[in-house]
Amino acid sequence: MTVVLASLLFSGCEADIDLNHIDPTAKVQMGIALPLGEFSVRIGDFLGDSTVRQISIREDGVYQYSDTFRFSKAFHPVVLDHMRGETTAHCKLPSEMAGFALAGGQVHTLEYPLEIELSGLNANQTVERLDSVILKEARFTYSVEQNFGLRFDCIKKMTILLPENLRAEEGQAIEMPLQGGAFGEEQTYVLGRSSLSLMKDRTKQPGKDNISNKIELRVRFEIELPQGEMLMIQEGAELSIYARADGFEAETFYGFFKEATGMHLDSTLSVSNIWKGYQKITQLNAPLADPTIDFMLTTGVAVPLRWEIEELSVMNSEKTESQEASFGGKNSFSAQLPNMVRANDPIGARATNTIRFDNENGGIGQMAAIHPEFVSYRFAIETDEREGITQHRIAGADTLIEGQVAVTVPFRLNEGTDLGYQDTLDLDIDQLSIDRLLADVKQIDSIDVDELHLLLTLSNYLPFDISCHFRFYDENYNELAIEANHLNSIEIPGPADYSNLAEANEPGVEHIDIVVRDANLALLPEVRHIEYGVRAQDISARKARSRQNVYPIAITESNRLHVKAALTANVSAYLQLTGNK
Amino acid sequence: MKKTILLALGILLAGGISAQEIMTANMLEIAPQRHMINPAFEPQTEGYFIAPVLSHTGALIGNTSIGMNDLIVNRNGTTMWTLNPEANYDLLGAFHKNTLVRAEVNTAIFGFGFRLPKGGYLHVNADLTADAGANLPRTIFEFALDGGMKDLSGGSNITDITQLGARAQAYLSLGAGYSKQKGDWGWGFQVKLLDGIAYAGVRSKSLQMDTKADEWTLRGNGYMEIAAPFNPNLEEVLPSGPGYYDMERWSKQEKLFDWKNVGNLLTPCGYGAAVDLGVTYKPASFVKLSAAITDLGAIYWNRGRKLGYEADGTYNGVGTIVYGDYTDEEGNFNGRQLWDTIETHLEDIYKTAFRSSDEYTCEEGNWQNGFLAPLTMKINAGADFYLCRDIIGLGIYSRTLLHDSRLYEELTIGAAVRPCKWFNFALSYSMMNGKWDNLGVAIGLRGGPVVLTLAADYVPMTWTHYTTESEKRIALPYKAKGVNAELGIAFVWGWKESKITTETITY
Repeated sequence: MTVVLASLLFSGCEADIDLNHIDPTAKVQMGIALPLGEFSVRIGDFLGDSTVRQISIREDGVYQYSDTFRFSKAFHPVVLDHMRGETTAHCKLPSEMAGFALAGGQVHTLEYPLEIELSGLNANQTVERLDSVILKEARFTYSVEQNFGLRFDCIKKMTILLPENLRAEEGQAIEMPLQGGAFGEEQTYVLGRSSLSLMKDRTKQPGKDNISNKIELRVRFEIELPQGEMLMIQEGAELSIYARADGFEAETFYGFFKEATGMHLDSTLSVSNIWKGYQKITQLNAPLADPTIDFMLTTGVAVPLRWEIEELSVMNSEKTESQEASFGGKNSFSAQLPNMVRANDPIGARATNTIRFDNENGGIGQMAAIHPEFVSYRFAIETDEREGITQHRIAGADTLIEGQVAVTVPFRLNEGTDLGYQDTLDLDIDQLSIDRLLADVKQIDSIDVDELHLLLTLSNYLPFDISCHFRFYDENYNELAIEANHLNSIEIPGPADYSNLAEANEPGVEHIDIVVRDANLALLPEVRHIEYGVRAQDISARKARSRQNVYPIAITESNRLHVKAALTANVSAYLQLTGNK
Repeated sequence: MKKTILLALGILLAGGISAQEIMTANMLEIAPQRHMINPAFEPQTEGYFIAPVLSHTGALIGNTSIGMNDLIVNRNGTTMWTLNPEANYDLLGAFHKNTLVRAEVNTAIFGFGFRLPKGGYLHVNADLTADAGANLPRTIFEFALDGGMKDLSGGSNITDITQLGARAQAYLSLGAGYSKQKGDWGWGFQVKLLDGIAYAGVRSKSLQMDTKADEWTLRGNGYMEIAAPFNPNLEEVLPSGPGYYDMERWSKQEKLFDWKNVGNLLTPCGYGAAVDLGVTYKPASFVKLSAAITDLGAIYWNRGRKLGYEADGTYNGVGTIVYGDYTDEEGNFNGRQLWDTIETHLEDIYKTAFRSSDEYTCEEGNWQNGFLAPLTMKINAGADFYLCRDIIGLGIYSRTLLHDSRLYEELTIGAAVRPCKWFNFALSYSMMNGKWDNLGVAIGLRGGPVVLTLAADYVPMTWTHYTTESEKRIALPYKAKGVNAELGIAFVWGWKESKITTETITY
């Protein structure tokens, strides 16, 4: 029986195969899918909200551009360098003293007027009329002479008596230092903080008829000869004094001041960094709903002012196109500055005036019809000779009028918006090959990709329809003719309802199946750069389809283009099943 | 490695599905053990006795779908894999909807039977059975070979692997049966008490992968059943309470079982019962129809544990791709970093996809103890034709297996010669196995009080050989999906001569 069975078992057919020599070639055709991930392209990525300090998000979530440009201009610098005066007073001893002797041990007082007329003041009172000034300091230089044999050391005290129009914190009688001096030798005294009125009659209104440039001082000498000495006074004996006033340094001026010549402020401000990587914005026609430009002037000059807006415009990058603001049909604008410092306000008071230009005042919403890379402005500041204001005040020597231009542009688009964005992604697509992914699977020897699909689910949370395109370039930026469906124009509708700023509305969704096969597969490894572009065009068409029919459209932080990416592929996988390995 | 692979191909990937009951043995009327196929079959002797082990041992190993010829072919003189494009072979087409990989060993501990004085036949026997099987749905092979992505444009690609499951069990059975022939009818039954030794199984109520382009998901739930006469040491690998099964830790566990308590092997882990029912009918003198259900029963594994799992894993990419995270020092996109991130995400999903279920918790002290597991039930039906005064027999037999709630069908045709009362010889062919390249063989010999039977359903007819590095030549079946064999020695007495007439067959 065993023999029968064994013969049955082992005398059967011998299969015509050689298990010791199996061709290791093995291939499977596989369809594989690989979810990759997702990413969102937010409006902020285009605008650079995290990298450009001027881009911020308002409390209501709306993106805005805001920036402030500062400037300053000296309104009317009062120059006191030329204000000076000098005089020589001859103090003749009284004739009745002739022939008498000044006895030692007695104090003899001589007091005489000393009038100094200041020059370099109020030369053109239509431009500058200095009524009074608060001095930080003034310098007096003096020397004394005599002709009757008086020794200098016998002058015990020399006192300058200040008039009413010159009031010093040191007092009205100022003793001049004499120690160590000598006749004919100049000495200097610096007068401290004081006020000097140049008005003839301070009880009257300031005005050009009430101006004087004289300081009527008096000088008093006290002479004492030593005990036992005598000095004979001869006819014609006199004590003369030379005095010079200069070195005036003032902190506040009162009077009438006209603006300096050329009080035109103009600047061209670059706002190109409003767009991160400005060159990526290929198209921009964005009528903005409520942009504002706030001009703010701050001054401590107690002068009524008015300003003339002579130009407010934007220009494109080449400055070949410009768009001017419009003020009631004119391109210029004139206004008083209602807030001003009064002459009797405390020293240091400052007044600020702000003028806002927006869609109503200046119509600047239309200024973004071109690429607004530069904002150009030019305005003039003039003294406003208002009725009843007869005296101005200028504090400080620099007389600066400081100002700033605050530009605020919330991204609220009006009809007719046309936006274009284009960027290039640099990558080595070989690193993204399916082979790389499966490199760690030991059983797979190699992979041939027969067909590759890049599946994109694009969810458009932007409040308008967009179209996208992709182009592929090799390392030399030669465009590769990878022809795949949809690549040149991918239309993605916006959300059906975008009236709610805060909430992410149901997006418009488009599924893109980028199929790469046949000849394109050979080109794929050469891809080094992928250009992608987004275009939002003809938003007004969108309006017709919108249930809300609401303009302007606010661009908020929730607005984004969400992309979910996946790869699918038909591959031929060559397996390593057996072999001597 | 190559040797191992080939041996695996030659043995494990072969695939018959029948139990140890050899269908070809249907035709060995000389064999007293035929009542195991149908309890209505009555031995030809007045009594029999089978000794432990040597008296009856059967074994089966194989699968239901593929043989080595589905994997390796000769094309133009070159031996190649069927996955070689030049082979032009549809490997996937070789897989059935479900592939059962199964191994079974059955051996008799003892057995005897005798004819009762008032008619009828009584059988008593005890057997030890160990079987293991795993069901592999074709969807697994489709996923492995096709990648599972049917719609490259992003549609759903569901792979249902609910049918994936496996179980192994060992049990002792002690049975007593009775059969009776009356006129053209015969009937019989056997009642078996079952002593469960060990059981392990895992199956799913539902388990689906959906490999869509933008999201992979694995969802489902199922349970695992374990009963063993020793501590399976599950505390080391299972979460204490609801939580993730640590698959990585599981796979690295060096000592899943504590063999110190292996001495308890004979301590029953479960109890059960089963019945075999059979009937025969002779509509004509030369025709006998038979039908039987065997192993209709189950074991309640009272020392078992039932642990549930829920699968919920999703991979939908690496989340938000930040371009700057994947750029090199020069700012160029570095795809390798992206792939690395994808791999990390996939590993995380694998680690956390399986977690304890609320239904059958893994919380210590709250496990469900005890579960019911049915046996692999068989439905055997056949028709025997007796020709030339019973010298020649023809037969057609059907066997249906109910394994783990799935049916597997097999049809066998055979012919036998019974030229004398001490010799039976039968040949058969099983249609579900071997592509006309297997043969069932059964031989029955009687010498004095001893009856020897040797039978096999799937004798491969085509062989191949592999020469090892030590120049050993190993024969491997080429086209067969599985092999089984049965050896039996019975001691008999009171041989009853059959009287074959053209009218009836009587014993």
